[in-house]
Amino acid sequence: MADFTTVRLRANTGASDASPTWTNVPFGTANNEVRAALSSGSQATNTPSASWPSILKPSSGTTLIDKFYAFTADTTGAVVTGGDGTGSHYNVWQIDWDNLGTFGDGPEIHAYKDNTYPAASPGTQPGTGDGSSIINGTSGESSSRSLIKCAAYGNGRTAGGSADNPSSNMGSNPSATSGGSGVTTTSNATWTAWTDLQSDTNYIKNGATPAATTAGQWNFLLAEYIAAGITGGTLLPVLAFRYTWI
Amino acid sequence: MLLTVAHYNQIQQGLSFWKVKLSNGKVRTELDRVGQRALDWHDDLVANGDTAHIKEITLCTPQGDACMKIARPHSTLKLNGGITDLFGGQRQVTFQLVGRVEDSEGRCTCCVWDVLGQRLYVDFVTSVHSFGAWRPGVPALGALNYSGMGVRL
Repeated sequence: MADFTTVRLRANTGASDASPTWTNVPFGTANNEVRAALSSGSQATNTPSASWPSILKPSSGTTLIDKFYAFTADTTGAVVTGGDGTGSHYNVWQIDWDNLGTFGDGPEIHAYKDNTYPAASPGTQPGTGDGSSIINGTSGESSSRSLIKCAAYGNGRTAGGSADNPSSNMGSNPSATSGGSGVTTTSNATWTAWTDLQSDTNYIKNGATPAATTAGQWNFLLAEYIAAGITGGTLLPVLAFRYTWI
Repeated sequence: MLLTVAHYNQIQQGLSFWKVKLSNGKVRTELDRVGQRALDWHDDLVANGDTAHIKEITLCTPQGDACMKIARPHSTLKLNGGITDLFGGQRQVTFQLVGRVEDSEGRCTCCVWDVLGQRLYVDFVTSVHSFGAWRPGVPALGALNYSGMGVRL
């Protein structure tokens, strides 16, 4: 099989988890982006990117980023429903793939400092802030774990071809020190625990190879923290979908 | 085999391509055209039973060719890896591998073109049931969908 034509992120911008509206954000297209904010911030769904408010570091401890937006034009965005970094949701983010490819093994969710996909240096902060501020975490507030946390549900599409998507909340909240050691493998019809996404060290792997040439949507939740001990700046870590195809 | 501009371009971009020699002497490469589309491993080799007739598979890379003789029918592996930046839309190929399953237990020997590292790894021995990392810093693949590649143990 050839590579998939469509592999993309989509966000629930609908009324609730139970009544989702899945918005495909065609990344790689100008002004299409996910933006992070605090619910107490001054941003709105028509705030241009250049005016997007900064998030200040806390003087101690960590701050949970509790609001995400999906923008499809510079001043056209929507709040991501349930994007508050808690486990009180189930339809927030999905990875969506088409029916043109066949996976060679279970796909994976990772996060890296940038799109060169380097290894992390856990607990080490850069001199100038960048994506590694988040991915490396701090030896204090996050116990050297990445400040990006993720929980994923089941397989999205099983090896047998059945859809495998959640209908109830994940159920628990992450903390800045949440994380696994190595790969966290999903099980059918089950939420994983919260794990940190730290390059190729800590990540989530689909426990099944989804059925061949069958479209699928794999649900996951995200949480991101800002810690007092990080180096600030323009922090643009990369959320990545690693996969193989035959 | 006559190399085309497509083959040349693939190498110039730091990518690799596979080619197989069949028992009837025919050579097929992934850059061959079948009508209006590119040759496809599944549709054009697995589906018509040609994976039973592969005698040789070669991974052509910017660092030279790695050739493997194939003795058993339905024992040839082929796999690509990629990564998509979900926040930025960039998609890139990370590796391409070809290989040979050695026994009914799934032990296999592979050649890997590591696109990110621009390095060729040969004679990498692992298992289709628990495919390991060919270098530090890349995640192990785990259990492969080998039957989808046309492999029978």
